[in-house]
Amino acid sequence: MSRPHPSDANARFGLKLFLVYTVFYAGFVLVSAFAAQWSEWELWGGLNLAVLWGFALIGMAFVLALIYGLGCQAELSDQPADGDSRVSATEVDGAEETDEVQA
Amino acid sequence: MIYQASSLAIVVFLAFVGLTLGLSFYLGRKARSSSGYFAAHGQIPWFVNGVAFAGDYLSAASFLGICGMIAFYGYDGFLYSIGFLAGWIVALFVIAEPMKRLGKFTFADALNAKFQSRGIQLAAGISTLAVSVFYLIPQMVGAGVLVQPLLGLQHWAGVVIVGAVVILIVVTAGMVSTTWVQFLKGSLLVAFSALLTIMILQRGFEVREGGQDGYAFRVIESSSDGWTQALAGNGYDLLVERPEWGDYIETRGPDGRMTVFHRRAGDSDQVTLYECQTVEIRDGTKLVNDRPLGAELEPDADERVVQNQLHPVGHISGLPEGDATGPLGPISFFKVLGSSEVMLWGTTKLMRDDSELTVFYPKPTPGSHVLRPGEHPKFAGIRQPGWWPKLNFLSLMFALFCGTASLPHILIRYYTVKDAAAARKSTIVGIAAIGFFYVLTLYLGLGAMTSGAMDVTNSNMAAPLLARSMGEWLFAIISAIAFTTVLGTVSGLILASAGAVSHDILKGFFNIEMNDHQQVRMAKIASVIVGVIAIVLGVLFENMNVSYLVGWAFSVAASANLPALVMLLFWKRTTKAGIIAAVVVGMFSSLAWILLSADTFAQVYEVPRPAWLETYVPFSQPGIVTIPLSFLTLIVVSLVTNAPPAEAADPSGGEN
Repeated sequence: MSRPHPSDANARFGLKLFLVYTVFYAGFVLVSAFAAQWSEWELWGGLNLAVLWGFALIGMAFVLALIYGLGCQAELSDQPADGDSRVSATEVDGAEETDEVQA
Repeated sequence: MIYQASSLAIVVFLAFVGLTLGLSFYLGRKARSSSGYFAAHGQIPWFVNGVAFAGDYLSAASFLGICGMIAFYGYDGFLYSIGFLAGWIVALFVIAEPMKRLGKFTFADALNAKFQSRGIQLAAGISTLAVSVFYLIPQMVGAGVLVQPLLGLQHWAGVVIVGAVVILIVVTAGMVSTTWVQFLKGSLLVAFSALLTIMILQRGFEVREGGQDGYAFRVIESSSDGWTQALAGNGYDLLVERPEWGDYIETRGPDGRMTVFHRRAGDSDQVTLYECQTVEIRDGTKLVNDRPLGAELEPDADERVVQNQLHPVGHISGLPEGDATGPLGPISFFKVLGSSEVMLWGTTKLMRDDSELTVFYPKPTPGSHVLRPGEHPKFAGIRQPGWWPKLNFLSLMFALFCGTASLPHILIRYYTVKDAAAARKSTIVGIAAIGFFYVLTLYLGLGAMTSGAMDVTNSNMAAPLLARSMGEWLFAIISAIAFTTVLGTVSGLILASAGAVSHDILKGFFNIEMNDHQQVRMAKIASVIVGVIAIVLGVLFENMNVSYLVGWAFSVAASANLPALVMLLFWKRTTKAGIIAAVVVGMFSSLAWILLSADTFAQVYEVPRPAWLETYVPFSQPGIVTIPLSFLTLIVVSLVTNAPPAEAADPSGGEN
């Protein structure tokens, strides 16, 4: 199988991380909207679910961003530059399945 | 409250403005070409660009609005922090690199990279203008709010000063100076917010009976049928029976003032009467607590002249142990607060004879309640039965999630770095700086809530007043940073608008031939015009809530821009007609929804809303309806217009 262009692999990797975060964010919003009483549960160190989850969402954004940055850099360093600066993520749809992040 | 100009604050403010303008004139020579003016030649270092992202993004809504909302209602303001930051995930993982690859100067460039359509250029240009103007209003209102305590000037003066300085910044050096102003502002804002947070933790909590001016609000306990005697026993005579006032009681106090008490039922047969504060216009005179505003009162203990004004508020009325905590850690801060009682303040309006009496009443609130969502009136619906308030909440959080990656003034910052990797790295730096700041907002807001320094009439002043409670120097610096906060964001917005007018609409749609120099000149003219419009709107919308307006800007941006951008990147059958339809439908449907919403009728038109609108616009936040509608429109129109295979095969064809 041929290896994907760096931008394609980055796009796939980004989408996976995006989905992980979206699930975590959606869970927070849905609990706040439909089970607001849960947010008062004291979980750790006197912090309730609302404060912990809120801080976790902010912290997780940074951690995922770092993972993305590191993953993309490693992947890019493997790829020869071909000067094509106009590749759209649309092409990801048609690319072959392969390991997206190659450290 | 009466705000007096602080000479220290004026000096610091002038130093900041002088520095930013000096920087602009110095950098002006680097921005004579359109590439320099709109995109700083793509030569901004990625770290600087990342911090500038923070400077661009952390607007008046973030610093003033969120801190104020937390200070007055607790956790609900933090929901905005969470939503604003989550939006960066969409920006980084979905939008950042394609935007950099596909575009040149503006958001419309990227959207139009595949089709080279004048229609897309026009629709995206108008959408950029609409979102930027929506976003500009709260920034300018915030500037006016700030200038009152800082310089002792009127609201309109603050708006004009900010407008004039920003126009100068943008006209002299475009994106180059805007970037460095935003870098400066972003660094200072995060650093001094961290310093303020450390000081809050060092100060800890202390039980008080009132605010920082030392005034102790009366709290009278009584049995439920003996409260009139209890009032009389404390020197307060019942003035007039007003059944229509409900639990508010008009009395004459020992000092001869009309004093309003709020009666709250206790657990068993007990009631507690809380002393309120009042504002009333009578015979053309503004009365505060039944005395003319600014009238000289008896000197205080230090023999200083005291002017009559509303007392500062916000205090802890009960701690789990003792009367003071001493320094607290970042975790124990929440643990102690959650077990304490906080005195929040509410507002109501009552008719007293022929005049309207504004009553500010204390609300003893368990600390655990300010650490959970649902205290703010706009969020209270999530704790009540019924679907519409919950959908309204979901809609807001959805729009915040989708909105960041659709804001034109944020998107254009991807063109100021050299390549996609730099765009990615600068976004990560931006997320770090912005995320750190948003964590701090919870400490800042809760610190303000318990500082005894809040102006009960103005939540937007929470952060500067918190700083004043720590010292005059800090107040001067924080106020100047807040002012620079507005400068940085407004500069980015005006630049995005100028690009939309000169590059997208005049050159792209009307095909007006302009050489590089002419295009920059046209952008500068557009900057002046948009700046003047922003000044006018900032004066007109003086009383609008800053955070709420920004929420609307996010909704319009997310509805108009995001569906088109995402589908262009990820759906091969997207056609130019589909993109144009999605932008137009998203923009107009979200605008229409906002203009017909109950909140707009209540806060802007101030007239009753027709009952039939309840059926069609049952909640105020449009995102949950209009963002999917825009996606759906694009899919349907693209399928109907039936893209030829050749068009679909090359998703990024066309000139960059």
